[in-house]
Parts: sequence; structure tokens; C-alpha cells
Amino acid sequence: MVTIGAGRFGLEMSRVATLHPVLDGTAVLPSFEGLVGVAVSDASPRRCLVLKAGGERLAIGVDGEVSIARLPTRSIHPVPPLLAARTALRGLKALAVDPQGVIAIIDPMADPQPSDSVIPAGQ
Amino acid sequence: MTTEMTSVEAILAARASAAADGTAEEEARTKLVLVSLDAEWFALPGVHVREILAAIPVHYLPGCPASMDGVINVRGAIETAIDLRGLLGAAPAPGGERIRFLLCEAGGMRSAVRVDEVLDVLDVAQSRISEPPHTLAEERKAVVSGILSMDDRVVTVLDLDRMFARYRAGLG
Repeated sequence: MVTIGAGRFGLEMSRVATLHPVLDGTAVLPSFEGLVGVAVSDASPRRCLVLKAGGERLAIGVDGEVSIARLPTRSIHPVPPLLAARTALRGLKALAVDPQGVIAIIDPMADPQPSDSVIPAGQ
Repeated sequence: MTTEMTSVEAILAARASAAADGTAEEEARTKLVLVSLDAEWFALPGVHVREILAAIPVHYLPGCPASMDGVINVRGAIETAIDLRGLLGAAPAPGGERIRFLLCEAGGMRSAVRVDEVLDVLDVAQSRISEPPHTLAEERKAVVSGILSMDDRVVTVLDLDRMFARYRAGLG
């Protein structure tokens, strides 16, 4: 789960390849916020999150908190039609509800991104 | 004898009067939920209003349009919460202490609709609802099904099917 400001975003573990600190000298990474369609902060990303789908990998910079959360299946709900039609979030798959509020479950790789942010398989 | 004939005539006259009243009562009626938004009164067809919700937590969700407050949890079902202003194509506003959410279902979609206040639930004769005036603003014409006069007020009757369809299409 990635927390950015008041927003919480959930990524399925099966979509996450690695998470590691951003090292000095690392090329500029596309931001998590930009990927999911929310306002991008000016802060430099502190972590590199590598996502995987099929044979492709996508490295993105994350400034917010990253944690692992286990959600009961009953807490996961479909996206209401009007929200699905009007949301600015890219790759919104479902909503999860917990005592703190709502988590947007996303699949960033469901929405094609510019090719320079995609790491070809094997690298 | 004369008294009895008078009585029969009175009975028959009363029966005819009652029959006429019965015909009037069979006129089609419709339930409307009367709400206010700023200084205007609107009516939502009761057939589309599933529930009137009092204070209910609205959960923030990033990426929502300004007209969408967020989502709410109604007995385990997650529904959107939309300001009625957004459905009318007007700028959103926070509302006051008397806000209510109407859980509405129309056009195969369901959403909570936030209003400033729920004023009443009416049962009115269809004949009391007149066609919207030609002078109505263009953006209203698409979502207004009629006008109801109540005392000295005009109530705009809204078409929720069209409102939800337009909102889904990005209009409003």
C-alpha cells in the first residue's frame, strides 16, 4: 500500500517485483503520482518500486509511505459505475474499506505508459 | 312515505357524488421527494429514491471530480456520493448542517445524492406537474421533467435517469 497525503493506494503483491531505496545517480524515474493520475509533488522519490506484468517491468519513484497490508476479501468492493466513469485515477480496479477509510486498488500497468518507463524483460 | 322517497333520493344523490369523488381519486399520482439546494426547491421522483440517509461518513478518494464528495458505505455496499449541484452542472458547494444524502437508483446506476435539506415527501396528482417552460436554461432542460407549483413556490421536478446518464458521460 502506498500512502500519499490523504490518499491510499493498494497494489496487488503479485504485481510488485522489488522495492528499494533510490540510489544516487539513478536516472529520473516516472512518479507514482503521475502514473496513477494524481497531482505530482515536488519531492524527490525516496524509493524505487518495480512493478511487473507479463514479461514487462515498470520502475517508478515513490515518495510516500509504502507498507504491506492484508485485506480480508469481504473488504474489497467493485468500483461504482459513476466513479469508474469520472475518476481521474488510472488503473482503478476496486475499492477496499478499512477502519481508516477507503483504499484505491490500482493496477498501473493496466494503462499503457510511455515506453521509456518500461524495463524490457531480462534487465 | 314522502320522507322515505326523499331519503332514497338523498341516498342516490350521495352515491352519485361519492362515485364522482372516486373517479377523481383514481387519477394517477406520483411520489416526490422535495429537497432544497441553496434557495431553490427541487423534487426527485420517489420511485428512484431508495433511502434518505442522515449523517453518514463520506470517505475521501483521490481523483474524484469536484462534484463527487467521495464514497460512502451503506450497510456494506460502497456507493458514490455526489453533490446535486454537480448533477445539475453547477459549481459544487459544501452545504450546511441539514445536508442529507438520498440513495438514488436510476438508469441502472446507483449513487447517493447530497442535498442541502430534505423538506418533505409528497404524493401529488400527475396533473399538477406541468411541462417545463421554454425559457428554462439549456443545461437545465436536459434534466428537468416538469414544474410543480406549491403555494407561492415553484418546484423543479428532476429526471434522475437523464441526470445520471449525463453525469456518467462527463456532463456536469
